[in-house]
Amino acid sequence: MMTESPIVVEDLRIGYFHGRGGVADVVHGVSFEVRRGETTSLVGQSGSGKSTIAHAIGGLLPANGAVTGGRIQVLGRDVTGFTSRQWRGLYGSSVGFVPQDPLSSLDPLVRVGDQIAQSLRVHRTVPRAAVRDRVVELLDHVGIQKPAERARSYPHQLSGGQLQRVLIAIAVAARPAILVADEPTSALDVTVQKTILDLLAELQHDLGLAVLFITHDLALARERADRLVVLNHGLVKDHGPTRQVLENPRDPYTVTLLSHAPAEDPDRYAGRVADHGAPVVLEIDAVSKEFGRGSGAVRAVDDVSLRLTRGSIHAVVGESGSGKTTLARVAAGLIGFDAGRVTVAGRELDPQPDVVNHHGGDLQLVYQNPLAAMDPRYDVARIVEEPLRLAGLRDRAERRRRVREILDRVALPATVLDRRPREVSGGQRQRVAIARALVLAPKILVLDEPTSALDVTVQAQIIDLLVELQREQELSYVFISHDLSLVRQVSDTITVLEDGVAVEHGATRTVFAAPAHPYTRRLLDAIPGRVAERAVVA
Amino acid sequence: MTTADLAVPTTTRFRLRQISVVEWLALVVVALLVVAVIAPGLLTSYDPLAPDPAAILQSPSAAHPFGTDYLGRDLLSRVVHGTVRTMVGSAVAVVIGLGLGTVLGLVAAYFGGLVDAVISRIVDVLLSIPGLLLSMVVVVALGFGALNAAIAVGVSSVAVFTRLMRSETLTVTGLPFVEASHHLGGTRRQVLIRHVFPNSYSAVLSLTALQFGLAILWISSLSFLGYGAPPPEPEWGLLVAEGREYVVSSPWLVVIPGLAITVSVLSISRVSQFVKERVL
Amino acid sequence: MSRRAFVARRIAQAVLVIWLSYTLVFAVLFVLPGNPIRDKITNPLNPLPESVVRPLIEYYDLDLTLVEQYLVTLGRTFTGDLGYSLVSGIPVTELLAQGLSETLALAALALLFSVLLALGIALTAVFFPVAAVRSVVRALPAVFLSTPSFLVGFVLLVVFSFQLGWVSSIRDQGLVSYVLPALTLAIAVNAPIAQVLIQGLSRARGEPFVTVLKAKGVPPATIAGRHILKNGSIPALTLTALTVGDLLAGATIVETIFNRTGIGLITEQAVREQDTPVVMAIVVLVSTLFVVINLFTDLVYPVIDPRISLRAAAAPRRVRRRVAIG
Repeated sequence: MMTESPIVVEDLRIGYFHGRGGVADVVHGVSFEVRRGETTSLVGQSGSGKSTIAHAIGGLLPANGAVTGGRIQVLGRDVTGFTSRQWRGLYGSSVGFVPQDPLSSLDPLVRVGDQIAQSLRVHRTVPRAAVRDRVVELLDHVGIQKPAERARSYPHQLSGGQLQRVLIAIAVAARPAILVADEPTSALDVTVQKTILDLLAELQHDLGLAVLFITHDLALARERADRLVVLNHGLVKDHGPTRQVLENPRDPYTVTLLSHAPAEDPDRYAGRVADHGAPVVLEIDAVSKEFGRGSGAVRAVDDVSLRLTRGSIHAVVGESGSGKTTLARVAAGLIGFDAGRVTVAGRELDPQPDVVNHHGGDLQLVYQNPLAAMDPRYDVARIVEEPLRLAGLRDRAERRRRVREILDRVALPATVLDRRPREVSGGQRQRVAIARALVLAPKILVLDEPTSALDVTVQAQIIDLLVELQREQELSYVFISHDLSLVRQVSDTITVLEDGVAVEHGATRTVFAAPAHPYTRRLLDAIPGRVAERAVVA
Repeated sequence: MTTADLAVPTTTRFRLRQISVVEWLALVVVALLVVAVIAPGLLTSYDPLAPDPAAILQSPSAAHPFGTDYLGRDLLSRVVHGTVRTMVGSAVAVVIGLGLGTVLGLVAAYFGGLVDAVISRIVDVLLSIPGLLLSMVVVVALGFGALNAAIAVGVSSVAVFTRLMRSETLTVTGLPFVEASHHLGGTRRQVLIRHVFPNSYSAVLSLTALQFGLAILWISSLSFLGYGAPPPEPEWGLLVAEGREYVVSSPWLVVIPGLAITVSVLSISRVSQFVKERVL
Repeated sequence: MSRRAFVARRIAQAVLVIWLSYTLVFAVLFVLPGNPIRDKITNPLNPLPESVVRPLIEYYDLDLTLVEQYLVTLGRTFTGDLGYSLVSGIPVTELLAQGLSETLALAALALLFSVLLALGIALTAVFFPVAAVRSVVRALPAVFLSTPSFLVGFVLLVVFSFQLGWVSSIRDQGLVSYVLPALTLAIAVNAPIAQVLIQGLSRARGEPFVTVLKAKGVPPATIAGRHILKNGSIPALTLTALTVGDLLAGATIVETIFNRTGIGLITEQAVREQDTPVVMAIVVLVSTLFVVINLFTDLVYPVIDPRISLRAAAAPRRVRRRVAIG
């Protein structure tokens, strides 16, 4: 028998109080442990209770949340019934916490150095006189360049990746034995994600930390965790050493999750064959677009060209700020461009397009956030019907018929017809958006991150639907995404954008197998699960 | 983040939760106000203007629940009959503010450029003068009287409505669903009527409820200072002003009309909030 | 944009608003047929002594056209000459000077009370451990906002002067005499500040950085006092600066109730007597004060909030919210 693990959770139940006295349990009897020097990952989709468990272990449940049963043991002490005063002795010095959203996790009015110093002062980790030096040392340790200078910056002056480093410095400042990381990279770009997780691994190794790593990304957990706990709706579905869980999943839920993760199943749509000799339906030729004027101008898209052939899926990938959404909006005629030519279905676009789109039947854009793209006052029937009305179809019965037909095609039940966008689920909402785009029977769809707000199983359903529609109706897609695993699954051809420049393009298979540009290589290296895959191949 | 999925399908429109005690009270007060405006005779049998030398400055009793004033007039009757003046005055004020403000705000947002700059500058100037002071200036120009006080208060609230209508219109115009509607083939006019106006107007309607309460306060303040309805009109602010001579011996002459204002304003805002949350 | 250029531009904007407000008030008062000044001076119902009428007629030179009159009075206003009261014949500057110190003292004390009340209400409404107390206190600003200040004034007067006899309603007791009127004014003015502060504190308390502070082991009192309060009070701070105009407008009613001879009482009388030059002067004074304070807040904003640089602040910010006094 080895020494007791730093975190032991037994039959844990957590509930939230709501309204007048009721308690709703969201975690129903969860048990696991995190060992010294090891990483245990809680994996689950939204609503699985993973974040709630992490907060309970950190003593950070909101005022309306409470442990309703079971036991949490931190460093050998039962903390289940701890008051906030008792917790104060553990915060920071026993358990360090790395939050989800670095951009709003630091006090915007306080210099970052002072926020780290606060951690040192509260726990008297170092003598008062040594605090300044220790702050700079910590910043240097978490990989911040010019640490002495950066200590005097305010949070808004740092990037998301730098902020997460600062937060990690805060978490480890008082030398805790445990680190709870709640989706620490979900708000960051994939290349930044890799460097942050590398940093965490290094700190774990140096300080012998027990790490509880919360994530929705199975591939990330595969790459980073020693042990896995798969959660669904507050119940443990599977748990054990990572390799064992993933190679021999015991629960059907884990199997579903595995099959839905794009990184785990790159050949899901391999049967789809695009005709390379098909005519070009969308051509972007040396297009540039600048925002702002004079010295403050930003070139969002810089001399980018791409061709979309009929019946194919062309992916545009890049990190935030790479210009991929701008390119999508240019192609959809939503914004103008400064140089180059855009040809859609044989018609050249005006570089300064009218606000009103008269060619909705050629090309439609599906927005990233369907909720924002629909009038909150309209119900689903009116939303899907609107394009027909705008197109001048007077016959009410005919409009209704076509709405029903298209809802059928995107597999939405008639019960959603009188619901408003807010009242349907995220996946249904995106189906409504797709239905609305398709009701005018366009030949081309521009899909701007159509699944980035969705859970992986819902994402898989939407992608299935898109691929099926594409085949049935010979549609052509421009598929904008930051998710390289997803792009590898669905696209025929690809353009890689970096700071508005197309650094590489070609057949998806070729680019993934043999990336020519260093940026593409960096991007591909950062895909979670890639490391494991290579290891298997070798 | 997966916030999009966290919104569990609910039909908030139909979830009428229990009406709280405070809301019941507010509903009752508003109902009483409506009765007082339409049929004041149902609530009191006294003539608000008839003096009664036998009942001067009586404290509240069964015969005179709110007491009587220095001429022996029944205070309950005066408060009830004063309701219609206060409510009509506030309605006039709000209609002026809402009407002019909506048009100006919409014009500024729709045309932009020079038109917007001129309107916005005037709004800035109007907002740099406190509303009560501005309505006093208008009263100086128009002369005293109940209607003039109402117009003055209305004119003073034009700027607030204009600014809100303008900013709401601009905000909604910038939202993705408006762009999406254009993308689906909607012309400017269609999108303005179907999406922009309905979505920006709900904020303006909430402001209307708030401004109605403010108008009651401002108009009664103007009457209190003697710029509004002339005596012997039973306007609420004027009742307080008349009662102030007797505030030591007969405090109810000040407190009751004053509370009538407070309770009405509170109830109206509460009910409008209720209507906005549960019914609309 | 350099700091100097920014300041210059904001000052130019402020002067523009003051000029426009003068023009607007002039337009409102003179747009109706007839000349208010002539009507007032020559009103047979209200005869003024010859010694007052003659200099007034000479000064206001009533044979000029409206535009000429506008230009002449505008020129005089910019040199600090605000004309003469049509009722007493006293120069307006002299009249205002008499009341200004009284009203500024009242407004300053009322501002102090407003801030303290708003802070007390907001902190209780957000942090008090008993939920029932929180929700009652949370409803206070709406009640204050719905209560006319003449009611508040009379109730305070009756209770503290007449019943308890703590404060004399007639004798001047120095600072003590200011307490009741200042409190009356503060009850009306603090409510919107308290509402914005409650919103600000509630929002700041839900920010993720609060969780991180807690996880660091920072004591709850420090989190509330140093971090949540600082972040949550920025919008309320702006609003507080903007309420100064409302304090002066509210003084009209409060000074009438408490019989204090300040700008408020002068306003009340000037409106009653339709003493146009005095009314115009007061409006321009209040508007100037508002614009100056607004300018000042714009300039100190970057000091309070590091995220706001002068460059960002250079875009003209609209006045965010408006408060009212009844």
